[in-house]
Amino acid sequence: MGYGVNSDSLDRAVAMGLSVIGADSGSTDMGAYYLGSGKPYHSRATMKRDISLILEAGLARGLPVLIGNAGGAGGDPHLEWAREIVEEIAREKGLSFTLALVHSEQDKRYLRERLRAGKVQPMPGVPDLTLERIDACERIVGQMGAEPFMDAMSRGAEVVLAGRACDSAIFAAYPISRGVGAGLALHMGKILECGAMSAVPPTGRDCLMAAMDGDSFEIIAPNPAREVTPFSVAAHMVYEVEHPFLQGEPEGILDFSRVTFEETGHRTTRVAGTLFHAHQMPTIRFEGAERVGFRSIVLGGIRDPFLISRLDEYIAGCTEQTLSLVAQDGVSLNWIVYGRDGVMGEMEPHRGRVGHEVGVLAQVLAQSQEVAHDVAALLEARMIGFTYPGAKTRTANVAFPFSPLVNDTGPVYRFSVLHVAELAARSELTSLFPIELAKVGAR
Amino acid sequence: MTNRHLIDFVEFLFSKNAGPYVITFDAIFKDEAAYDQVRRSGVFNKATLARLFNVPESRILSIHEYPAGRVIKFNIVRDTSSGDFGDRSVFGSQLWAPLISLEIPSESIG
Repeated sequence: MGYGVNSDSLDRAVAMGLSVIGADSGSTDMGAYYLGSGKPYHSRATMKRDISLILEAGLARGLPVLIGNAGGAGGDPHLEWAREIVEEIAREKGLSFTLALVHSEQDKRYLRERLRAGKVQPMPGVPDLTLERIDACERIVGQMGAEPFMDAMSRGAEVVLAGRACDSAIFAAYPISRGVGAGLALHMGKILECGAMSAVPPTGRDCLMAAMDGDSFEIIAPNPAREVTPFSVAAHMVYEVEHPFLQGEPEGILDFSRVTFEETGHRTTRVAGTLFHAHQMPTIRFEGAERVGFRSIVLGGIRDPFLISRLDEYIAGCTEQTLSLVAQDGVSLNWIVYGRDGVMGEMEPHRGRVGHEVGVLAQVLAQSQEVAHDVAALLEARMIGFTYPGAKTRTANVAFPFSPLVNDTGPVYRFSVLHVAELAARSELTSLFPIELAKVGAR
Repeated sequence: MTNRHLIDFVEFLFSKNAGPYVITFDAIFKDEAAYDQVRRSGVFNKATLARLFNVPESRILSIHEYPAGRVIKFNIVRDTSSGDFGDRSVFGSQLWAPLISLEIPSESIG
């Protein structure tokens, strides 16, 4: 959600008879900036349009509306951003309902305590957690499972706005609350979370439906222009995950190794055979963003064949001359050369095949925006004026497209916490995610 | 018969994030025959992939096959996490191009 929900598909799905509407609107995918800065990823206007569509569709028929990863990264500022949008819609459309806000921003004390207890593991590729890393984070969130959604519904919420949540849990919460097995429900949620990405042609901007059965479920495309096939569902199950058939959830591990797919109609596929290996004690994934500095950038193009043939020397020379004028600690320079190895860096097998023109993105990281800006200004002057033997031009090395020449892009964040903690008690599945209930609009 | 390249067998090639520290690469095959032939060829191994992407084998986290999705998938640990200073691809996208020309040995018949 937040990219422009297809309203025709939503209407069709509702007409086919729904029990609940779910929407996922966030991820770690866009980097740590959003979690660290507290800013939303999506456009406010599009988010308002999308929330408005599903709120009206759900409330008109008494269907619970569950929105997870509201505002993107799951911090309190993100949840507040989403709450303001919901309240604005309610005022403008004259809607009234009970709203649950489920918080996912965490007090650092809990994670420190779990780390001291030896109950924290890094996600693959992530360094081990330390107390210093926890302390350095601007903001830490926990990724909730289905329980807080179920709790909010049982306490009378008609609309749930939740912070950081497992995308599967948003869609699994209602069926689990009606007695469907957690594994099957979570598997269904994994398929619905990207909308019609499991359909052909795939897109995250269209709706997808699931019909739950005793021990299977059917995936249905409400849009007649799309099909759901065994292959389209299976291919999507591996999308953006490390393992194709083992996927971690707070309560256990989903296992798709025995799953069967059966085409049940033109637009429908039945899925069965999901296994679920429950943990003895549930786990929660924590995500924390540390500010590593502030960035300023200089962007330019080079068309000069003599300079292109000496790019490494040019970059090293500009870097060295600039840093020799910098008094402060904690300043880093980084160069991306498009047309050579801009996308792949050291992974580029064709680094030697440089085009007739290259784009150069020079970045400065410093401990304040002021210092980053000043160093980038020094760098820009070196970039245009750098001299070398064999040069055929002077003080004209780069074509800069912008005035201002130096652009400040703000703080840079890193996911310093991306770790899974074993809980001390099952009750923490809900107690870590406090629920705030509020009446919205006039009754 | 000359060797063919991976691009001749696939419907799609992807690279995307599997979390901020891992990039997952997916080769989704045209049909079961293509999937089976490439799987049997054994070219998706740590040594070959490490050489192709110029990374140490220790950064090839895992390689998986999933027949129902006609997918062979492998994972590379990033040297810079998504969005950190020095990252080149926040979504982990566009890093699959070297796979295009991965050579798939032809199979002898009989």
